[in-house]
Amino acid sequence: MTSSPAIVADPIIEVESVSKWFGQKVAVSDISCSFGRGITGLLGPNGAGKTTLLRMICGLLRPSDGSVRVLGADPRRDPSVYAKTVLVPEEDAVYPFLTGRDFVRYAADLAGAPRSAVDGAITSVDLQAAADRPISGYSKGMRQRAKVAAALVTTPDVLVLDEPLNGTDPLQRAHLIDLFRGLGASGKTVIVSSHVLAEVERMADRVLAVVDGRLAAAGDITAIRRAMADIPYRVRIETGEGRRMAAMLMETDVVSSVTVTGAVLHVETSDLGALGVTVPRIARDLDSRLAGFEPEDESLESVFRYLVRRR
Amino acid sequence: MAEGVVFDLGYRPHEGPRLGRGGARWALYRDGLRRVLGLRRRMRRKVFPIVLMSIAVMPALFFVAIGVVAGQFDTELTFFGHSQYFELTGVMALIFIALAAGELLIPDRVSGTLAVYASRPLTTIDYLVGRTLSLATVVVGFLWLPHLVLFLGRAWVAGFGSYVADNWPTLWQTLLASFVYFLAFAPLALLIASTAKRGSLASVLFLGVTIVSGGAAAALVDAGFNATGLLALNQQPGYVKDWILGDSARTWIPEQAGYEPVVSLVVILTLAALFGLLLVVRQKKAS
Amino acid sequence: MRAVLAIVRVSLRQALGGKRILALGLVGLIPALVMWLSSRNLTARAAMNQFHDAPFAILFLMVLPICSLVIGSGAMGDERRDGTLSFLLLRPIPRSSIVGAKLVASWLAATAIVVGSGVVAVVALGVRSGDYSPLLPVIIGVAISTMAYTAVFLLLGHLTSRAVLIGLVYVFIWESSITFAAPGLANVSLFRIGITAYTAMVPESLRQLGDVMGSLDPGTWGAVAKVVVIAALTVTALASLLRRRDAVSE
Repeated sequence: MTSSPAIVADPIIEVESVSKWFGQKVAVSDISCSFGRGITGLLGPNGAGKTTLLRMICGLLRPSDGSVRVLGADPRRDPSVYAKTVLVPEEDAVYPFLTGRDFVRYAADLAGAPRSAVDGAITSVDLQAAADRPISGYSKGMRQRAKVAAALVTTPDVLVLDEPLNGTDPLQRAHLIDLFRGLGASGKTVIVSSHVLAEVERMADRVLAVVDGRLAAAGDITAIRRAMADIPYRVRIETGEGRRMAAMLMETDVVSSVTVTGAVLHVETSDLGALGVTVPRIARDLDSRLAGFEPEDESLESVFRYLVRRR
Repeated sequence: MAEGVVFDLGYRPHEGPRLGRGGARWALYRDGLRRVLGLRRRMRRKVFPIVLMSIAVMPALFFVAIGVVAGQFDTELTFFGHSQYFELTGVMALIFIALAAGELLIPDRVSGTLAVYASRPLTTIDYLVGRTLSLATVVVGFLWLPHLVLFLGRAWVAGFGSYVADNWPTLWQTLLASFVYFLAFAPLALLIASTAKRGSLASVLFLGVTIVSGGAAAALVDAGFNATGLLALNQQPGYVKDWILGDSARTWIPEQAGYEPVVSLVVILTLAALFGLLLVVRQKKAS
Repeated sequence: MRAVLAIVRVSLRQALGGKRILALGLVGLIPALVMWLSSRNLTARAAMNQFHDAPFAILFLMVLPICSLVIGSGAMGDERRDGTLSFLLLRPIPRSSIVGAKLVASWLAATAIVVGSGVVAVVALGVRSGDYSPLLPVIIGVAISTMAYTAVFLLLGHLTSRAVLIGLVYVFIWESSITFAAPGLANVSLFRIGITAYTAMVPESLRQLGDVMGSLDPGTWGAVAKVVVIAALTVTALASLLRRRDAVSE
């Protein structure tokens, strides 16, 4: 069962062959994965299907195909799952007329959690100073923290966090990342979605990458990085001797393809380090000035797109 | 010395003509028309205007078709007379304005798009005029179109030249009456929409005030408070319309209260000016 | 129970907050104003007739549907549009409890405004004529019809963003025009449920309200039974929809 890195040994959440389509649009396509204790990062570009997948995990959306089980139950059939599972949604799901404290208290009341936990939850997200002000006057970052506090007040075992760092300033971001890491370390199941690689890298030991509604990569971050190293890099080289440099590059075994457009070369290589040594050497031999050397596909989206094509 | 580079991201500035304030106003007007009619929106946004317009025009087309088949129009058949036709379309205009006013003003304010307009060569007055004109075009158009259909149908059956020569005043009279309906309802609807956050709430409040004013005025006029007859917001345009078209089949509340139609017209114009002024003040505050 | 009470409390604040309560409150004053102005120099009996003639009609045909439409359609509809529905649904509470709490809250909010409007109108009648007897029947009649309207509009508000338009057509075209022209259709009219209860408690009102009643007979318990059925159907249907349908859109 654990042959795929997308599946964990002791799953708390199981997603089995799940698809979701809205009319003609396929948002999530045949994803199977599971989540255990600790933090799992759900990574992918905007519109990749992360939010749809998280909403299905929480039972807000009914899968068009496949099934989801959280803590052994189907959340759409068994609301008792929500006693231990919370979602911090991406959108502003707050009541602007309530104060931050009232909002967190409301969450506690709805979950049957003790009201004595309210202050602790507010403190944990560092919202004490603004807790008695109406949420309508909150900044985006404060609203995010209020939502996280409302989730934490119920002391959940499973936390699903959809882009929880959106709108937060660097200090708040660092604070929330520490908070989530602490939760993961204490044995909670935490899923954090983000389209920012660096954020996920700081929080999660394990990553699932979703692109165009499909699972594009899974595993620990180091392994995925290693997998990415197999992808030929596309590099743009600008030099006065375009054609001659192309010819000399092709004589080496460093590049797999070269396209010449005037003074610009588009090169594919699987060994970026070797290319970085070879190109200046050839430029020197040709007595040509090297005007540019830049990777073209370093964006997250292009890397993941490549992964999807490779599958 | 630190080096920097500016990458060419492919952006090209607009190299066509600059249309200035007139172009901005025109764009605003076109956008208003699209919103009111649900053009370039999902089908469900189009359903309501299409249904209303169909209901408004169908009887006229039906009557024209019968007239063409029979070879004559029954001039005694007053149900489809121009004045009576407004009884049908006037109610629809009221509901249409209630919903369209919110559609025109509320999303801009709630979504913060007013700031985008403010960055263009547009004043608050331009914005309101553009929005109001787009609403006027649709409302007056849909109130007047059935009358045009009726007029042309009758002219076709009765002989075009002679009918048009004898009856052409009907065209401007019905057009004027359509404007009166618009002036009587739209300013208040837009004013309420300029203060509400939700279109649905603005629609219900506008309709509530308009309809309740009629019911309350009727009761108070019966009790001898004749002056309240002028507050029957839903009755004024009908009374003025009958005056314009020379019809006296129905007794309206202001008439029951002893007021001449010209007084109702003055009330409509005064309230329109007052609501318009409040709308400008409110909108300036919002932007 | 704590969760249900929390939903009721927050939903009441949601329904009655801001300018909404002010606007609806002002509309609610109209029956009393009409009653006060139109009953000058009338005998006690004539004042009572006048009450059943205009203020009562404004209360039941206009103020009551308008308040119920605004509050009922917004109870679930606003949660859905504002994205807070997920906050409610992802709780360890049965869907029927959530819907029931929302219904109770919107009923209480709408009833508070409309009963307030009716009570002030009856007080105006009482000051003019010394007769306050319609007070309790008005409260009961209003409470019954408000429950019927809020239940129907609660469901409608969840199903479509055009609930207000549909509600307006129903109230001002179907109920206020068509059901008067065809008395046999009076059964498909929500404000008449409350009026049947009122006329059962104030039989002399039948003289003025007979035309409004159409084919219906006076009866308090029958009216109560009707709204209980309507409310139960709403809770069942909406809870089922919340379980079956996607709670958020794409």
